[in-house]
Amino acid sequence: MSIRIKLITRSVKSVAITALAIVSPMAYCANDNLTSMTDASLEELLDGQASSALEAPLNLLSPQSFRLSIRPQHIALGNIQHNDNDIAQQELLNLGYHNAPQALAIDRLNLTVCYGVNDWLSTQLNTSFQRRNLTNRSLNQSNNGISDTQIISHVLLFRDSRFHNEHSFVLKLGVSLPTASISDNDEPLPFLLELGSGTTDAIIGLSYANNSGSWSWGAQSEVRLPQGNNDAGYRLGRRHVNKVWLNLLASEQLLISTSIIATKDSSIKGTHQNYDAKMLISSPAYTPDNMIQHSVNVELSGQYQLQSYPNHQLTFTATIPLSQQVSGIGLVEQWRTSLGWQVDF
Amino acid sequence: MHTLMKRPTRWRWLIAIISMSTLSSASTLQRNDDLKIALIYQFAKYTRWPASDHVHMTFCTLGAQPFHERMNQLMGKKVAGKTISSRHLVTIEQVATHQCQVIYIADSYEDELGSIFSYLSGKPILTVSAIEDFTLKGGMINFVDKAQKQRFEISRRATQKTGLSLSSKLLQVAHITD
Repeated sequence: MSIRIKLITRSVKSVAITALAIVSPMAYCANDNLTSMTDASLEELLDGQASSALEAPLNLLSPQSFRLSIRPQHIALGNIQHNDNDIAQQELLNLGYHNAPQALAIDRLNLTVCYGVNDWLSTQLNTSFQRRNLTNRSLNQSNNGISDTQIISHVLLFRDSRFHNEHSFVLKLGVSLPTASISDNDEPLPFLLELGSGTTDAIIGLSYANNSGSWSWGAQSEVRLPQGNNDAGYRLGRRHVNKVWLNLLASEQLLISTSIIATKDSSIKGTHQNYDAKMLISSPAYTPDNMIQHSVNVELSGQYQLQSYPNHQLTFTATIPLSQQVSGIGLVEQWRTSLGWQVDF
Repeated sequence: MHTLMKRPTRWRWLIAIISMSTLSSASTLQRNDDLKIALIYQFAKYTRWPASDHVHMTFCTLGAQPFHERMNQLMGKKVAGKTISSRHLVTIEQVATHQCQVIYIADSYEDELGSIFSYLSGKPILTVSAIEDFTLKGGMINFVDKAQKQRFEISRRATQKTGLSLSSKLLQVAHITD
């Protein structure tokens, strides 16, 4: 355990020291900046400003301000595969799986509260209520309740603000608390239906964003590191998420964004202690190795600021998978979508 | 001994993060001030000034010493054929001493706006501020954030009262409050 903590600490230090080493030479040339502004025309001054509205993915808020966000989301999985190939129900029956999964629908109501502590630190709390419905060949199963809760800090490591251009590095440090209950009774649920990890997980990430005029782009790399085993005797694998995004402030009210998100999940360590042989032979959903290991998704989203209520924003997100690699036999994601409302105060 | 050796490294590490963060937020504030100063320079260029025997075009800052220090960067540039000079004021009465033609009023003077406007009444001095509802309270040009970009509002009534005339080019890109 202590070796793991040392390794995490060392990783965080390495990431942040590297970031500082990269950005340190980027000193703010204040007088050059003002000179270029005074040489600009009135139109250039108004049109060429880098807007901080484009920093949305960085989750940095103004000091002493709050953001409340409520976002219903639907995720659909289906089309069971064996590694990269589709597998027919008859083949599953031939393998002995008489109750193999056919589809999974996840409906989540996501709640996020953010607070800007000062110019360089914002904190965020994420949780959700979710309902999972798993359609199997002969028996349908469902589960619902509160998911895990994340408490995250976003630390602005560096920002260089010029007239036309602004770029920032943000460190993300957080913890995911096991507020979701894990099935540990005599009839445990398959992994797909669990609402959380059951473990306390560390979250570490680094983001870079660049704004120029009405455009911004950036990249984010994040890792979730589960600690210890949950009450059922297993732990989820590490999750690495890498994301690149491009935003366009299409008008004063509308922000359009597109992202490519690559996710890699390591295998589950151990297995549910209450799974029995009957479960394991009835469905591949009880085997920890059967899961999506790599996925690359494209996400399109829009954020609309209400004209009459400028602190209120409506959001829409649609995600489609570009590629998915299944380890063993498992369902693949088909699409996900969310609608949201957020208010700043 | 080993533990004692490690501690300073940890503190240096923490100090490095805080220093970088402070530097980054300072640069954002300075960028916003620079943008305001560049726009004030444009406001002066797009104002028709009454004839006067002033040798300089004097930009004054009431309060906000750091803003005034940035404003000094405009010195030497020209508006309406006159070289810009920059002055820092502590009281509004210093306007006469320094012959201000443009005045930027800092947020800290919000409670004194009534007495400031009664002192400036009828004088051809362009008043600019980022105080909320500045133009509704009697000011001429008010900086506002719109979609987190710097924009400005203009009170035509306030400018006309003093004999100043703003160019249509400026009025086209501003939000007119009256």
